[in-house]
Amino acid sequence: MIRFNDARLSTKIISTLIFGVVIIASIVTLVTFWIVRDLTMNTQKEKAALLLDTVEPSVAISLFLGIKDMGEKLSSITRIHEVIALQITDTEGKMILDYSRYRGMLPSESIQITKNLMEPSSLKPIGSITLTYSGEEFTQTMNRFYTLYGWIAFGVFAILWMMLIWINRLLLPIKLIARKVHNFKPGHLITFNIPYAQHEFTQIIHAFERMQRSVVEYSLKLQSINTDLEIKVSEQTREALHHLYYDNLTSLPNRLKLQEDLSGSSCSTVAILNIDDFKEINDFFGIDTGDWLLGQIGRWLQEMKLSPYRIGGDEFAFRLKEGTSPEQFRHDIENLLSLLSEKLFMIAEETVHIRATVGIAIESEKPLIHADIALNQARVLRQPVSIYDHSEGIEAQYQVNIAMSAQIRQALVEHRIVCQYQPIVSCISGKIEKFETLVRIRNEDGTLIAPNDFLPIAQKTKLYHHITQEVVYQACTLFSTRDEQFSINLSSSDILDQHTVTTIENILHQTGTANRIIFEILESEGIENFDEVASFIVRMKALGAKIAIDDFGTGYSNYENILKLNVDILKIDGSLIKSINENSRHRIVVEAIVDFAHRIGIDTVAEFVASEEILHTVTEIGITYSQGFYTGKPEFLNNFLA
Amino acid sequence: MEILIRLFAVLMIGFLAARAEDPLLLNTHIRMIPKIMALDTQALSHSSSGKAILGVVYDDNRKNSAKKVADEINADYDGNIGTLPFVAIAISVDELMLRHDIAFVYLVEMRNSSVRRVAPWGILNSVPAFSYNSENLDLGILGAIAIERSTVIYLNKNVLKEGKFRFNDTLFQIARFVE
Repeated sequence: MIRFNDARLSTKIISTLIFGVVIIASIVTLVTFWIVRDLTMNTQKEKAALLLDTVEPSVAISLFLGIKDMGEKLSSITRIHEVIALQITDTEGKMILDYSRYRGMLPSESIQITKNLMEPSSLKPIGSITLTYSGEEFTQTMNRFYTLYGWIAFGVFAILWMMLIWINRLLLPIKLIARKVHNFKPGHLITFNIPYAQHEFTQIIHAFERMQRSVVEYSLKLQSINTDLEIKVSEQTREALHHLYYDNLTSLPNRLKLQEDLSGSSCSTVAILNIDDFKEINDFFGIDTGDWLLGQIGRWLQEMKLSPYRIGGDEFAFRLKEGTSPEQFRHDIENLLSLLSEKLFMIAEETVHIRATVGIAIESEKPLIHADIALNQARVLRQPVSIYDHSEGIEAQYQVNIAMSAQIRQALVEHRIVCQYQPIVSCISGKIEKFETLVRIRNEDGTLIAPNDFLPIAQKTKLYHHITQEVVYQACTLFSTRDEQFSINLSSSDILDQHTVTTIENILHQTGTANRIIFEILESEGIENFDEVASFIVRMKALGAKIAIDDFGTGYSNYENILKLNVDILKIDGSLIKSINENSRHRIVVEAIVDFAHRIGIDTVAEFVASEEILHTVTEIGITYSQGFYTGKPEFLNNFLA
Repeated sequence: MEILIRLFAVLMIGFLAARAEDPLLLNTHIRMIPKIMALDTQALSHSSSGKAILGVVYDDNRKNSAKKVADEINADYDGNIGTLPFVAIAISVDELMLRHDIAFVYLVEMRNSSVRRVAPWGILNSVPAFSYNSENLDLGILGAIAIERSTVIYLNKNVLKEGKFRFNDTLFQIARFVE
């Protein structure tokens, strides 16, 4: 069916014709065959029946009268060539006459007719007569019929063949038109010179010619539209490229443009200039004024002929020009900073001095990144200019930080955050009364990572709260089965994070350890976020928890704040304790702290108690508890060896 | 005297021999005559008893011969031929002339004078008359049965026209007509 759909029109027409003719011819032939066969057969039967009718009365009466010899009476039909057999039997089946023209087998085609013989007076059956009539005439008639239809079929086939040729000739103009139209291109005119074109094809040709003219007209219009569009697209592209590569505020090329310029150039020396304290200008004068100032700075930098880029909010960049040495570039930058520091920018009627810090990367593989690192380095060192030095390993440190961040995340997922517990011993009884919880990461090989190696990174990567929650959970779960008090260090970010505080409260409720937990807070963090820390202390103390100020004595050591925060324990900074026997000033500070604590009725803990002498001294001074390697190292508690 | 006696005896033997029937032909007649009677469509119209009467007619002293034929017919057909009930009786020519209930007559061998009496009687009463002797057809008898190469029924065409007989048509298809 798919092949027929794809076939040529002439093939379809002739196929349809052949199909139709074959169907009609088949039906006509079959019907005619049946009619001729039945007519012929009936004619033969009627002839046979007629023959039988001529002799049947005389045979019947002869049989009735008992006249056996019927040859003479039957000779009228047995003489006929077509009569090939005749049998007469009585009612009992006894054969009275058995005539056959052929001995042995009868011809294949024959008609047999049997009639009952009746008694003439009473019409009772007295026997039967069977006539076998030759079918030769029937066969001959049918053969003539077949021959006739063979010739008719041949004639029809010949007519169809001629029709095929004629249809192909009629449809030839379509092929010629198709070939010409196949190669049609707008702007080219096709000339149709078709022989034998019928009226319909002439119409098609006229239609094509009209279409060609229309196509030419539309092509011209389209060309005009295309030209306009190309101009507009070109303008839009130029505009888009400007938006893509240039800063709207200063009209300076942007970071992307700098990156492309760097990638297309052999020069890889870049300087990044950051306006110092620009946030304060924005906060003080407003963002619009800040933007206006950035525009002023951009124009001024352009005037300095250093081809500046604006690569961020208050960051500009410069690229080493070809033919200039890195030393000259550095000199130019330092000169620029000098001029900038002297330059006065006007904001409304106010004059503003602008200072800037610059990081330079010279002949670097990653000039923008390295210049940024150098800029940070300059800020840290509070220098106006810093040059990236690969040997300082700053980038390597970044890689370590990234790897550690991933390691912390993995440790949290695989529950490899573990806790060790350092005993806090009573200086009076010498017994362990408390433990400080100290977090570790257990490596896959079983070694431990100290908190100083991962907690600072965790604080910068928002993972710190998860570690705190894990430590609180582990410690509270462990001490829910023990009697000692235990302390956990909290940072101000933990206290400021409401989710962490709520989680801690839930864990305390679930484990029932609220009256034995001590939260250690750095004094400095308590002062920086005084209100939030005070609120947290109130909430925790309401549950029964205690609060300790960690590393007390080295920072602000503001006693008023201690009183306001209502803490329970002061943990005296280890730097004061470890040299208490050698440094009399440290001993005086410690004695003052202990005296203050005694007066307000709170306990004190000496950290870094590393020897018997130190323990003796802190006991002598009156410190309540000692904590250090001498009194007990951090270790896993036996029923919580994670 | 003795010579006269011998002559009389020879004449009587000749006479008797001349009037004796052929048994084969007679048997054929006994078998066929009732069936031909059955082909007569008016057979029952002559009798009021519902039985057709087949008269086996004789003359002179041949009553026994006629009776023998009648008895054999009755024995063979047991009173019915097809749907036609009938009875065969031996009857003399004189008696026949007085009867009107006879449906069919069969004449055994008899004198020509007797035949000449029966023939017009048959035509007049539309009673078909068949004769043992086919030569009697020339004397006005309607039919006779002869055995030639095959069995042949002869009908006298003139008598058939005169006598208003009504036979089944099929009879005419096998009969041979004489004039």
